[in-house]
Amino acid sequence: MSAPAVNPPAATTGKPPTERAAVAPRRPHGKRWLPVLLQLAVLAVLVLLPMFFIVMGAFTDKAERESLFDFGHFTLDNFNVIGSSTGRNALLNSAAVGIGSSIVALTVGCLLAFLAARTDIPGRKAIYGIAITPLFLPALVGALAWALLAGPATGYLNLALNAVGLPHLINVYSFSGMVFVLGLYYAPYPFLMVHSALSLMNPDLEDAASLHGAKISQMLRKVTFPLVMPALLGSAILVFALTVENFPVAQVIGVPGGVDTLPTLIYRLMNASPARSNDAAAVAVVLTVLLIAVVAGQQKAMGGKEFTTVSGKGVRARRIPLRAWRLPAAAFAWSYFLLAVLLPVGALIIAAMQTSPYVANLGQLTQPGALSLWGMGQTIQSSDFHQVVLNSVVVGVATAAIGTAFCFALAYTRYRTKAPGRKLLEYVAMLPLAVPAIVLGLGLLWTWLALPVPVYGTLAVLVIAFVAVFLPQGYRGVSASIIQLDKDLEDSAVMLGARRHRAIASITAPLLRVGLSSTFLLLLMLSMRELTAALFLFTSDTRLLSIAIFDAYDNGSLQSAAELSLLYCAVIGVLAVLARRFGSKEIS
Amino acid sequence: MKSFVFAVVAAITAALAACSPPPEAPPLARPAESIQRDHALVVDGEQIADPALWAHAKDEGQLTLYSGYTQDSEATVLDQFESDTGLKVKLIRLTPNRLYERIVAEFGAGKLPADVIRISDAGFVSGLSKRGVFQPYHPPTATSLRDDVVFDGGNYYRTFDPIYTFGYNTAVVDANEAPKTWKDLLSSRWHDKLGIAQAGAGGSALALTRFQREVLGDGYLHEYSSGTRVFDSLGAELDALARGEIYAGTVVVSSVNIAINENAPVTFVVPTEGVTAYDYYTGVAATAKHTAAARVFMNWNLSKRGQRVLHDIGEYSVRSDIPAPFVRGVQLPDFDDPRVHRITPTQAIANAAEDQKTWNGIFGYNE
Repeated sequence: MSAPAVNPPAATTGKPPTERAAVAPRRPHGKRWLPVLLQLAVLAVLVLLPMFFIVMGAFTDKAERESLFDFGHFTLDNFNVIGSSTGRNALLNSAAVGIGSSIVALTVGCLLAFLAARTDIPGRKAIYGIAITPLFLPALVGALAWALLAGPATGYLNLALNAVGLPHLINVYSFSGMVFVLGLYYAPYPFLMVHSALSLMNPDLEDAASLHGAKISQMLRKVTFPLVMPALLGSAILVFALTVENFPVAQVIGVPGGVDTLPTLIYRLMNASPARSNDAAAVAVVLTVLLIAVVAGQQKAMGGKEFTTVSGKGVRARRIPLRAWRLPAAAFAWSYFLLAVLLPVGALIIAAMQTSPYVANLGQLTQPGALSLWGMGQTIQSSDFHQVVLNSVVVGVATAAIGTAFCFALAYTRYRTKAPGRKLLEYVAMLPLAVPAIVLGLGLLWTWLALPVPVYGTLAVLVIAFVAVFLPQGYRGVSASIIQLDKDLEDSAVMLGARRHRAIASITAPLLRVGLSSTFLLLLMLSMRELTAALFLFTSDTRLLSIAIFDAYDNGSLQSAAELSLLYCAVIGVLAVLARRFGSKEIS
Repeated sequence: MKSFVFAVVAAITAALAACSPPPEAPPLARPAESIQRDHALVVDGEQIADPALWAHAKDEGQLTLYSGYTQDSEATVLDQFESDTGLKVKLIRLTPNRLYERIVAEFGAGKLPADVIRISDAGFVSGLSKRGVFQPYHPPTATSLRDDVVFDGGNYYRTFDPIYTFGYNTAVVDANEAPKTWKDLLSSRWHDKLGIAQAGAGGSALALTRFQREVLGDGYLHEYSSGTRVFDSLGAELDALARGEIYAGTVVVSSVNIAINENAPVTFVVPTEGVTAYDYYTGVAATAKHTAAARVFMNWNLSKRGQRVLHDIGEYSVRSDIPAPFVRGVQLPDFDDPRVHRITPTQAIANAAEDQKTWNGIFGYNE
């Protein structure tokens, strides 16, 4: 947030003209435009064209198009779907779910962040692990697991309550169930942002407060919390945007309880027979406008304020003694771990091993023959499963590699050149933040069916979709580290006679390897977890693990969905371990 | 560290693979008594493929089937087909509405990898036929057919009719208290414990809607809709029924039959008001790359042997020489019995839009 303030002065002030020429080499006007135009063209295909098809679909009347550009006449009738009771409910539910789950996620995430960063809670290091482990459980898996745990009638928790003589109390298929599950699995986001703000904070500010006689509670209220406000607000908006556009949890938990949201409405309109794609496009436009408004609101609220808390001095954030609260605080952290990780994974393991789908009481599971690993063994050995894993890994690695390279190009153009239109690049690259994945997926389907490039039906279209969806995350990751790097290093090489591309390859890129490899890892993890963007784009040969799980669920086999979910988590875990090892080697 | 991870993964894999299978359930469909594959393909004395076609099909060795038919049912049919012919079938299974959209998109993009397409809903299949998705074929095994089996000059065939009725969870509902008629389901004791699959899920749901509106009346649907959970697909509904999330709901007989085989505590009812039968259609794709294997698949499906397999699972055969199914001790009424309400393609197409709209209105779904 303080990032842009760091760069521009360095770029313009006090540089002799010769040096500036090195930054923006004298080139014919057209040639200066070329890299920007190229990157804009790629962005147009990735982001703008899909949006064009969505908007055209929303405002035209032709449902069964002869050709893809045959839109028919202008109409506003498609927006009637929002006025219908289903549409109105979906809109209100989306907003309410977004607000509710943001509150849950922020409360849990910020409390954990505070405990892990700034207190003497027992097992402080473990708290960090506890808070980020749920990131390895995709929301789809979490939702399925909670359907198994707290489904009405035979959810494992309800059976456990039954065993101690209590009635079936919990029904996760409800509005509050959805808010709970979303809050649980999005809490790591505010945790990470607030944790880093709390641990990087300059202790001088707090020391000053203490020296002037402030009590700890006063110091926290007047100094510490206001300083983490930007991180808190930023993560609030992020979580709101992510939960409003979340499809898997809404479909698995919300829809059975009669809670429709805009993403499930889009999905269902596309799956009606015949597909109501124009209505779906209209809902997509409304959802996107809603998100754009929220993101713009955040930019406006944060704009112009300085929140510099990191300075060059040695940082050792001070710890607040919890005293009598130490044990309750630890209990809180561990119960989060229990709810977000242990119980769900346990439920998946039991469900994957059950030989009969129905359990009347928990005692039944201890009978001989009630549980078996045989099904899981069969799945692991099936060639279909291998294909699906391979697809997921190929798409994940390709998205990470291409995404990181492209984001590097974008960030480089934005922060290291004076090419005209570079701010536009940034704007378009950040646009997918406000475009829900389900909308972008839909738009990409229409784009690639229309373009005369045989990409639809291959893994490439999934890579394209994932790069587009995760552009903002990738771009932010790379640009954050480019900003930190003094560009004089690269320019010196150029002044000493190296060509610009050589200087980039042997100076800038190697210096950025930590930033680039962590962006790579981030994109890899994000695309391994993604379901929604692929929903309309996969074909029979290009199913991903997430799609296979969703299909199993849709086909009514919660058991094989549970089996696949466990294996999915295992694959993600193994990849994360390998990538981290690879990454740490790079860094050392 | 790395080798440790690999060792753990390898050990778990080995442990899983070594696990003994659960006790084998009785086979749903009777296997063939005699199979000859050397010259022509002859199963139980019936020629499925002549020598020329069989030679080609053996060379191709496999086919890709796009099917909207319930996953487990299709898998059971394919098990029998594969063990009869030795041809491998790659199954792509999606609910009929999603399948239809997928086929239209892939066919439009010139990227339809299907050799054979199987789908319910007369509107879907005739739509696909009009778009040129099928190629005409006349299986020599298609004899003793009932009426209304061959469509669009052999582009696609009605291949069987699943039976749509309602069922209940036998673990939570006592047999004495079980619902016996459609009217029984309106009793307050089923409130919040009923399920139904949405009308847009495919031919099955639309056929049921037609039956319910025609025989039971819109008032019935209105009453049914209060306190009923609406499912996006039949498969998901049956899973919820088996796990006791709902106590009773609409089911397909063959799916219940297969679920019982997998230890699910569910059963179906033949109510006095009657049951619905809806068409499932199969045709060779115009884009088929394994044409011979696709043709063998069609021959087998319409042969006495193939129809016998479908009968064993619990579907109505399209051949007059195969009787009505007998499932879990229950004899289903004959296909021509007045209690069996089959929706003809003309009826289905004529009423689909209006039925779905009304249904959506009643259930407050996708309005």
